[in-house]
Amino acid sequence: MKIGVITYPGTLDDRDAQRAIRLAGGTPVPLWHSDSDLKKVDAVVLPGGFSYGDYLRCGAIAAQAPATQEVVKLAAQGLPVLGICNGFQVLVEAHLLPGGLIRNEKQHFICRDQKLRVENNQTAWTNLFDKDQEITIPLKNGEGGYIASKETLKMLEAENRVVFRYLDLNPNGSMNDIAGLTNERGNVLGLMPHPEHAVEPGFGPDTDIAMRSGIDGLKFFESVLKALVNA
Amino acid sequence: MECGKVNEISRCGIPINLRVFAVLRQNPSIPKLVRPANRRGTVPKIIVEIMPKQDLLDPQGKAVSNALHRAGNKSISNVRIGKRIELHFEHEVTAADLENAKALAASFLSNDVIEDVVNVFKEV
Repeated sequence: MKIGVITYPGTLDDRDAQRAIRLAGGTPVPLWHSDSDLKKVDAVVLPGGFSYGDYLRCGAIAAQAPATQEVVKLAAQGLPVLGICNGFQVLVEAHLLPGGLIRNEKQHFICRDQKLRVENNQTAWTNLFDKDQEITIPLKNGEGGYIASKETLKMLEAENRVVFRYLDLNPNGSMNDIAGLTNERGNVLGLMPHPEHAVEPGFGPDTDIAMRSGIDGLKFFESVLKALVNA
Repeated sequence: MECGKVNEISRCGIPINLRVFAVLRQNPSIPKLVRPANRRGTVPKIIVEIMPKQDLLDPQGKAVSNALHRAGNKSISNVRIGKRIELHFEHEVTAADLENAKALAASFLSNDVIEDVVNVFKEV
């Protein structure tokens, strides 16, 4: 299974995402922002970073890129898409997901291992999690405060589209503690925390068992591989 | 001591940039430096003004407001900071340009979840 990872000018975590795909058993395919050819990949990851230096608004310029526009087209046909951090911002600016992301409530850039609750395990990227499972993956952002209109929030909650919620502490002032959400169809997932940084023992968050042994992020990539095999 | 030559600048007291400029002015074979006609101030432009939504926290504005208060400006009750975007044109701005700019302001240049377009106008 081929999973594409788009690199924009200013992307940071493209190679980490490729590594996560490899460790999960998939084949990572590097994609370039200005190329609308997505090389017939089976799924796409929009990685974290600071595309275009966060100019205009985070993710706004990357949302106009030829590769992103092709992702928008194919997502409507069911292509699994995962947007991590800046990738989440790109998905929001490309109108694949509703709402917006603003500067963290307390104005600090936050970097910590973040506990999350899996609210929806029916998406292409979360099907290997248990419902209400608690996971820990790194979070690092300056503009991760999720906001949406009252009507949108109501709709997201009613349709079970909030996929992850912050646990213990809301790090950035996100409404309803929303850490990640999906589209109507469940093939597009955007979240602020970084699953690709918790995929290999020795390099993940600390757990009760051992230091840096957390690999909760790996299940995101294993989930999509399973979804693709079953499709 | 010749001060007009660029390669003999080390012994001369005049700043280097002035002497280079003098060489340029005296040598008729070098074309005159012409300022482009469309430099700031004379170029036809459309201005787009965008502000963060009223009910959203504006962290920049809050930080500036706090600093102003510390400096004794107690009568300023709040500060909000938005964006001014200039769209420059090669020709005089037409009604169609303005319509297009309004559409761009509402779609790409702002995000209506977090911002309001306050004004789109032709600068005269």
